[in-house]
Amino acid sequence: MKPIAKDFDLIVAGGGHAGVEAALIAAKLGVRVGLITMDINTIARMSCNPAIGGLAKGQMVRELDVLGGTMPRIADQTGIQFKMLNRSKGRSVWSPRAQIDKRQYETLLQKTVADQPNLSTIQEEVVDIVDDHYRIRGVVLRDGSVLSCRAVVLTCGTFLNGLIHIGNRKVCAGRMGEVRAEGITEALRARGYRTGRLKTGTPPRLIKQTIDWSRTRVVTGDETPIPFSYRTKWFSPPNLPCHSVKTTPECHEIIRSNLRFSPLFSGDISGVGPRYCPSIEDKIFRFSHHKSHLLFLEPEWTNSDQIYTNGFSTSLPEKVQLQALRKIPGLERVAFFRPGYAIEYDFIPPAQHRATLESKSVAGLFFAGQINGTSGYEEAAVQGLVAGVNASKIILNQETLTIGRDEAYIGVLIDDLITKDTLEPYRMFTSRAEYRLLLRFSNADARLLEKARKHDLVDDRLYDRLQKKLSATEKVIASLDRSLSPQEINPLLSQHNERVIRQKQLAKELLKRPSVSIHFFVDESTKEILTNGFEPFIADEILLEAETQIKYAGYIKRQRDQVEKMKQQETYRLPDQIDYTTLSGLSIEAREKLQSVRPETLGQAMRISGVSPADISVLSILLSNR
Amino acid sequence: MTPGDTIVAPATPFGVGGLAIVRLSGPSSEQITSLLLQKPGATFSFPEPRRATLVTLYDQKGTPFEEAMVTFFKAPHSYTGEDIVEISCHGNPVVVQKIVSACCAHGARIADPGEFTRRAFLNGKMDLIQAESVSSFIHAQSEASAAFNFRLLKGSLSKKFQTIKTGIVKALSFVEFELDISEEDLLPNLRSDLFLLLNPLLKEIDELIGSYRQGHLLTDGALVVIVGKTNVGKSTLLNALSEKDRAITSRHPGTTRDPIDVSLFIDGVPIKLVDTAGLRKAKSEIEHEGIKRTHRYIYDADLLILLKDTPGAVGIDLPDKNRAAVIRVFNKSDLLSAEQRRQLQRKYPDHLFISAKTNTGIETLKSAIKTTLGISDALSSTVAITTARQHAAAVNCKRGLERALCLLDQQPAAYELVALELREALTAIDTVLGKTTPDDILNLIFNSFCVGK
Repeated sequence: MKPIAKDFDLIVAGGGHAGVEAALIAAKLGVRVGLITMDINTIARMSCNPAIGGLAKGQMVRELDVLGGTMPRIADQTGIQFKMLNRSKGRSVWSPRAQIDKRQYETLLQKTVADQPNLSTIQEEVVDIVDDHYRIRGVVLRDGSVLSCRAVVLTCGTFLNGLIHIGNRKVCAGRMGEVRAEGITEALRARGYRTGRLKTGTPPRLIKQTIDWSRTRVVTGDETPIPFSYRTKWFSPPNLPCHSVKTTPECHEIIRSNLRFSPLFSGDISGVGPRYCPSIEDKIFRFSHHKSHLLFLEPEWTNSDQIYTNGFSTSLPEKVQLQALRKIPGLERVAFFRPGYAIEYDFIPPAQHRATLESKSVAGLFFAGQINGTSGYEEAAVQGLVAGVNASKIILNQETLTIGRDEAYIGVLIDDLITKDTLEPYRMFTSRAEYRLLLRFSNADARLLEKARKHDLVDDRLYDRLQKKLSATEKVIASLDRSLSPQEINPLLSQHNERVIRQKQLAKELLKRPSVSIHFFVDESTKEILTNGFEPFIADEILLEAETQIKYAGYIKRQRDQVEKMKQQETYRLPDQIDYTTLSGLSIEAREKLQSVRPETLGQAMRISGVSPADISVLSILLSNR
Repeated sequence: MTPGDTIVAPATPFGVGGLAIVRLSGPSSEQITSLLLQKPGATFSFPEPRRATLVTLYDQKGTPFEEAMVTFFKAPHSYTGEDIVEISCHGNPVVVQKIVSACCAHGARIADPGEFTRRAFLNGKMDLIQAESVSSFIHAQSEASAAFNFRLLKGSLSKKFQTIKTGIVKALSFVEFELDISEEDLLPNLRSDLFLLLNPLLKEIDELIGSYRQGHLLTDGALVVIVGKTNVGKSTLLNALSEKDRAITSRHPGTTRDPIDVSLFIDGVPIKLVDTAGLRKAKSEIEHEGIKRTHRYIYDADLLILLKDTPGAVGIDLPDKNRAAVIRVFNKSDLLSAEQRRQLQRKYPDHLFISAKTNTGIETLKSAIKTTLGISDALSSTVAITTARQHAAAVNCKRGLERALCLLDQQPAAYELVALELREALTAIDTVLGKTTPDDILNLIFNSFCVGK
């Protein structure tokens, strides 16, 4: 082995969405970072759909922004169509989503990485780790050289023993045309880690010129787009259209009669795929009564010739994919850039990690992204940030960052990962958050700003701006304590078919009516609060938040009470060294689950499936006797 | 666990035994217990800490129902480290039940399984010396609760709860699909689908809650109050129903000034029958007081017998809040000619015609009391809620469902709030059946809907 002169505090293995967030935040915190990637030209590549955000994911991107992440800012700069999803539904489930110019996204992110002080990029492959008594010391590269460091973040994504399936054709690769990573799985297994295998898929990419666009339906974004990042100032993204088409019975028939050629059905794929993002063959097999499925044709970048077929993820043989697609109106003469495929890869069940994403067994070793069994750019990015922050904090000997289920979707994500069995790639849903009403995209700053400040993740300028925004929100709420006379407000009420009032009433009370909007009460004084140098989207968000906090006051309080109830268990820490198999008072299932998950707090233990409240009380008694 | 929360639960296994212990823990333990020990109006001092004291327990109406030993443990010198009261009573499930319900009525909450021990632990009460004894004690407790849960879970009652739970989970999966997956409006009839799904559930849960009242009738009995103007024969009716000469009767209006009660059984159901002062403009202070008490009884009654001897109003306004059932009765039918009686019956088809004096129609009245109270031969064999925990679960579930339905009525319906209420309804059911996780709902979504655009 030849030593490399350059040494690092932190090595990040993998340059995907988790890896870049980890590397960038650590470098910003003053840690010397080495980002090791097998191909520096593919850093921050969007492997699958050309979009960021979406239901529950959009909220996470906002949270990431407050915590100093990079994805939100770059997404704002490279978005080509922005849409607030769920706008017709409840306000806590509003979720921002953007179509992204993939090429520009990776270009800008690569530039950000290149410009970041303290951060070096190395084109290599990590094949093993070096540890000393279960403390990380460095990594071993493909050429046999050793890089020493004090912490490692592993973000290998789908590259870890990646195996691509197209029909019965199998290719060892991390992405189509890219070499897979090998060695890490074996290195971890040798150190006692459990590993598993998952599957995901991607749809075919079509050639733009072979599509009859006149037969598709046009889908555009919001007229007034809302950015992901509070840092974004000059925001006027293009609003490029996407298009949709519908599958036909003939298309379904072709897929159905070729099911046996799909590795999902032939048994070739052993990994478990995500049910929320099923392949087209799965949809047609399981929902045979559906006559048609909606597909979206999305440009992968501005003026892209390459079109992403959202909704048609498949691992059928290329010929079958093409035949089936050509039965869809508008796609009769379609041709491929490349077919869809399924990919299997190794993951490390994340119940082996702490809430900081540090491994429970090897100190200084962190895991983030798909290696933890998640799916999605956003899920990966937020884990990368948390792992990057905590690896830095350990190196700097500072307090680590953990995020509660009541504070952010990021908290829900990590807590779910470390307490639940991952049976399929984990994707965030709003229903996973028991305190959903508290986790709005529009209050990510209120939830996380102080935490970000405490851990040095936000600069003074942004901190001050967001402070100003939060206090403006308070002021708007206070201003609604004024009472309105019937003469003042009744004309507006009757104009909107609202019941008129007979006596003076507080604006706040009127606003609690479902169809009454805060805009009924915006007057000169409100405008004055809002013209305090805020971007238009921030001013809108102040009103939205004020309105939400008043309309939902009762519910928000109920959720807060639930949070208080949970807190006490959450803060009770369980000891690290404990052999649960010897605790005879526990049910057998609880013993097994606790032994494998090794929860850090009583609260985590309670959320493990198979552990009953009775087990919890027995556990707490037995432990107190130690 | 919430600081400030007081919990209550039987500390001894469910079933008949020599002794049973009900335990309260939390800052309001002393206050809640003192409400049980206090005869209304009497002076009273709470037992000293750590001294077993013989006391009488009173129900909410001020009636004594049990003699028990009460021991008070002042925080932090107690098992949980909080104020604890232990009430040892006769080992009769009905009595235990009643004590627990009374505590809940005064603000306690039924403890979750293992919660006493959890509190003890969180308050740092467990030490090495106690280790062995505590561990074995816990074991005994969880075995008891396992046996208890087993009883709850088998048979038709759990099936009922399960049906309701399945319905709520299904409704939730619709709502969550709408919020989490569907970017287009894939469920155009969501609102009406939810009404169709939830309304029958509400009916079922109502039946369950109702069954608890029936179950209670068997054990706690019912309060039946006879009301009417003076001199319509209320006291005579009391004597006739109870087959005793309990009340003084006379031809003079206003003979009964103080409400008189008598206990009897109708088909094994204990009934407290009360004869009240006749309602008229009081002629003396004593009579005034008597009429005031009458109104109190009317308020508490499970069943009112409105008695009259001439057509027209009975002369009382039933208070709005009174939810008691009512039976309307014409007395003194022996004084009516056959023709008069026919006319009256046509005019008042919902009235019973009796003569308390000649004992005519008394059996008919008894069976009317039976049916109105819901006492039936099938009572003991129907599916009924039997414990306060199940009752609390059903009531909380119902509240959640009602609020969800109420939200669905609004335009636009806030589905995230509907989801919150449904989750609360589900959490309530879960206290009986065991926990539902977000994954259970997502699983149903993935199995029922074609997701992924």
